[in-house]
Amino acid sequence: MEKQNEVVLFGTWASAFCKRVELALKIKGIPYEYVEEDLTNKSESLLHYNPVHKKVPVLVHNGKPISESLVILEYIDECWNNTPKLLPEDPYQRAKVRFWVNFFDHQIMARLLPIIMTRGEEREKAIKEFNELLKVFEEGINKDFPEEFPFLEGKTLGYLDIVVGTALCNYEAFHEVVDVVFSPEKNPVIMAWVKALKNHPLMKETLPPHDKFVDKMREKYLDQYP
Amino acid sequence: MEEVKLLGVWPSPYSYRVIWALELKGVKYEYVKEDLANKSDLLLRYNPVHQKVPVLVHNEKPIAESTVILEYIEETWPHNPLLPTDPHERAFARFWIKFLDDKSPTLVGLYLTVGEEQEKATKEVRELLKIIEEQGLGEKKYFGGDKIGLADLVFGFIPVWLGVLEESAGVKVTKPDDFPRLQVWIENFRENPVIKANLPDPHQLLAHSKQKREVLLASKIA
Repeated sequence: MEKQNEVVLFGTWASAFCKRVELALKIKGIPYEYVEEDLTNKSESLLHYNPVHKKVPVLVHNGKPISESLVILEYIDECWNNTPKLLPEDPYQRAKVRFWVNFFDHQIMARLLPIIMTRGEEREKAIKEFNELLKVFEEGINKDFPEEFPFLEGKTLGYLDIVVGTALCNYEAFHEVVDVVFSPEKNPVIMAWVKALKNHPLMKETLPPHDKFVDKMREKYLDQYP
Repeated sequence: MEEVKLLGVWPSPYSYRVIWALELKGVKYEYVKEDLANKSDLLLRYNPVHQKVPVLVHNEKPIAESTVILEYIEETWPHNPLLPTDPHERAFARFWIKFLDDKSPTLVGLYLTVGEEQEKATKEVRELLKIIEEQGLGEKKYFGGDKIGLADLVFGFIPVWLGVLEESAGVKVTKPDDFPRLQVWIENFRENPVIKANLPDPHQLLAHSKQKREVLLASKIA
């Protein structure tokens, strides 16, 4: 029997990058097989499908692999051209979305590790920088997407929601294990967005369970940076 | 009435990617030379977040970040396509674009270092070129397939800037017979009439690179 639309996702349950792909597949209603990888003992399949980076997530569609979470998201949107669309139709709107996702990944996400790795005054400085960038992000999104921001209840999740949600919806775990990095007082707009995203049924279904995630974070970060 | 402006700086590979894309598509544009030591009001207005170039301004709508601009150009002016039609091949091109951009610190590393650090950097660049040749280019004529595409424009860093970095840093990463397929690609790239007509002056680039390196190394030691 010919394999029609066989979709396999290689991932790890605690990775926000992998969750991005899972969420996208769920939003589109695409059936998939999930394979949990042990990154300390990578499978032959993973090494075969992502020889360059040997990382997750990797999506394998009818035997052909795609790596890099954002590349995978664009691939999913192009290949399964049905609604809901993850990216807007208009090229300028698409450019704005891609710009802010790029900013989020390269500027904001990149500031989390410096917070985790530092203590005392250095950490305070790192948190301050993180907050400043979050402010730039909030203001930029507000300016570029005035009709969609803040996130409206009942709206379908898009590219930006996926990226921001999978990274920030587990903030309580980060606050518990590492430090409090944002609050309703300092970042009202982001907090409102994140809270609304947390309530979305598909997001709830996709996010890792809080306690399990807290344990994983402790193991990953505190053991490495005591 | 289409009004297209590109704010850029002449030594920058990121600006050139966009120039090449516009030229390959025959899009008429006005090039605005920026001086990053003295940023224009235009730049600050159009890219307030990063205050960097390149910035494309299409009918007063600014777009920043070279890879975002490239995708915008491809979508807005779809003739002479620079991405394949097949989604998997498009994903492949995007993967390699991201690969080169993520690895740019390694490439620039050999230029910013001296002594043992530079030896290490040289080795890392050789390993990168091997991966690029075997996994990225493979047996294809171009990174995107049969025709020049966005991925090739991004890899244009190698034919145009890598040699300059090597020379200004006094290091040679490759021997003549290394990476033969990449060498063929480099020749094909340079011979493309549009690329050929839009290259920075190599002597100016070398002089600029050497000067910049001196300044950067001096500030590192200080």
